[in-house]
Amino acid sequence: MPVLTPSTEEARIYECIVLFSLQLSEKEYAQALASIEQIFEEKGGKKLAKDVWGKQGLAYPIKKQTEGQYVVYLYELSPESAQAIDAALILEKPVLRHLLVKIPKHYEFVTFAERASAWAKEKENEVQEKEKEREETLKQKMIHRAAKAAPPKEASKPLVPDAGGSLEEKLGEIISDEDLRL
Amino acid sequence: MPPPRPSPPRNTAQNDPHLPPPGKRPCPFCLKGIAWIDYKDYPILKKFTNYFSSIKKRYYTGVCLRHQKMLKTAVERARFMAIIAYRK
Repeated sequence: MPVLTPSTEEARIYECIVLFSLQLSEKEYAQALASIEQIFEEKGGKKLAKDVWGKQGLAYPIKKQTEGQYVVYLYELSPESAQAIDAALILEKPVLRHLLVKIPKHYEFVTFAERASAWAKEKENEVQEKEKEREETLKQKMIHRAAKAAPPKEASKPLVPDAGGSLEEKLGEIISDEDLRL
Repeated sequence: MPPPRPSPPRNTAQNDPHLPPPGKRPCPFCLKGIAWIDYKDYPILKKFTNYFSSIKKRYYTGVCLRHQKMLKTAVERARFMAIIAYRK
């Protein structure tokens, strides 16, 4: 999504997140969504984006409910109407919580599905990195153990046993070879 | 009398051997070039809150003051919307 800028000087872009109760039937839920969008439209809001998160668990119970459904809206509003909408949303019965905030600079709208896929990828990467680290540490441990278990090295012996002057003869032969070009 | 045993590390994350010592850690948000912190981003908020879901100290996480203030507003908003708990 490109960088969001309001169309007029007076208008601002607001992000509204609404938490609906999960005890609503499908019909009631649709009605609640419609009524909230109507509130925004009445105040002259211009809808830019909408993202439905679906059923989510809550970190703490609200009105004895442990689950709810979040919906995120992105609206272009005037500051006065934003205030009025904030007050109007409190009166909505199916709404457990709502938050209407101005978007920060360099804001990017990301849907819940996109975010979830990014989280899954990050998790996978983390798991892979951890496994790699574990393997490396295991390898180093094995090397360390092998070095400990190996008997101490004997005094270094000459690699080629001395064959009593035969080597010198051979060398002499090779050097005296006329075909050899050094 | 035997010598006193060394006390075990209190928090493994705070004493991570791969990280520079606390107080000298780089800001993880500045490293990624993050301009704003989203209150809807649960994994990031979880990373910077402890078991009791209070915000971790800057001394241990290395977050710069600018980003710590952003983090604070994000955590407060997320708490209000029941994305993260106030207190566990």
